[in-house]
Amino acid sequence: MKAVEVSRLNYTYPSGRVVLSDISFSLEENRTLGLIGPNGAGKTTLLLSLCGLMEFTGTVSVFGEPMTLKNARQVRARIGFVFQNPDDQLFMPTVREDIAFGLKELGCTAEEVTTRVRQSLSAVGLEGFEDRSAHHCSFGEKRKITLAAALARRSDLLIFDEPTRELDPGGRREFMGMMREIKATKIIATHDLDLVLELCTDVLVINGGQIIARGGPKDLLSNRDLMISNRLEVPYRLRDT
Amino acid sequence: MRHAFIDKYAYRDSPVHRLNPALKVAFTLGFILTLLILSGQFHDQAWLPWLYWGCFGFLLIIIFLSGLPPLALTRKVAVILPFILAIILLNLLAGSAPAQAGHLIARSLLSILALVILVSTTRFHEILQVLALWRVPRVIRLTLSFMYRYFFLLIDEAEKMARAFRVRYQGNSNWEKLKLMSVITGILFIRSYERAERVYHAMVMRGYTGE
Repeated sequence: MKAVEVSRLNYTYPSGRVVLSDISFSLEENRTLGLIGPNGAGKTTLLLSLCGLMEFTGTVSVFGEPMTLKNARQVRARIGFVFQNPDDQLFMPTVREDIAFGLKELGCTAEEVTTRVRQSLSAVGLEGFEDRSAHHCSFGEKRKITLAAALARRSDLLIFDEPTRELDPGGRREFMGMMREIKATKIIATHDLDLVLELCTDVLVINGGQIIARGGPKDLLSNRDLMISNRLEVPYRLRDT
Repeated sequence: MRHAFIDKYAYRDSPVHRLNPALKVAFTLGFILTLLILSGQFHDQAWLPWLYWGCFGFLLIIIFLSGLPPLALTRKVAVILPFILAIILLNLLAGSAPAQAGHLIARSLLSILALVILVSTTRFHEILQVLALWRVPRVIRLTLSFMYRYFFLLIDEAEKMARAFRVRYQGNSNWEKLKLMSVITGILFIRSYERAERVYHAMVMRGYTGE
């Protein structure tokens, strides 16, 4: 089954600047798509459009359900989003309340909320963090809490926007390990090409709001001309010495 | 990055800190309401200043019992002082008697001091839990929660911008400095607006509908 199907997606800023132009792609269930491209390529806008957070033209379907104004809430219930900056995502006074926020909106019972909060924190290695204030945590911990919040919702599709940005090497490795363990369809927008190589099954290169190339990670990332012309780099492990 | 601006002292331990949060919130609200009602009803009574002094003495005892640093509390209360003075000035211009201004200062300062003591002895999330227990509308609780959560981020952002300004600004003109600071303040508002939009996206993604 197709987890995501995008057809002729366009998005233009009110100022007239075209951000996404004629984007079409699909992603099979349980696959991991890496979205790569230079700064300002339209990666984040594309991710937000997939969730119906931007007023785009074209069609977006998630697990066969078209994303429309009418059913956006139902479709979003199947999507977990880990935003670029954890401070934008963690807005409740305690970690427990933050994770519970999305669960209460899903209509979970109090017992279920408690169980899921505990389980999701345990999955990211933050047992006992329930009563802490999210803003007292380190950046790496905040990042894990955002993942826990997404995991608690048991989403079928998980979207990550620059998940390893600003993490130290240890935190990055740990976070990638957690991402690998998640059994769901994933879309990852990132500049971390080693992550793409390790975790992704499919890759889309976008630049200037258009799809430039699509294919498997090794094929695309080892294509030096493609990488250089899109302000990317061939990862070290794929370079001929 | 500084983390705690509002309830910095609430993580200490004292007999007052250990009291039930609901009791503390109820007491503070009761204290402020009683003060406002009494000072409104009996504004021409000679004993009213004694009531203010009595209340002040009572708050001092709580401060002593909670071990809060008086200077830090004074600084927090002083933040509100310009707003109180502006209101008093408006009242005086509108023809109110100077004695009325005195009442206004006394009850404003006492009310603010009571609130500062509350947030300095009760963790903010405990106050929100009490409000939830009392069925205060969710939108009000969420607004308070956001205020608490993003206030320190705003301060942090302002500090970073001020630091960048100090590093790069070589001039001496105070007028020019003032002009640049107003531009920076504008940018800070734009950044806050953009952050608000991102936070809203995060809320919507977790099912928030505004209800």
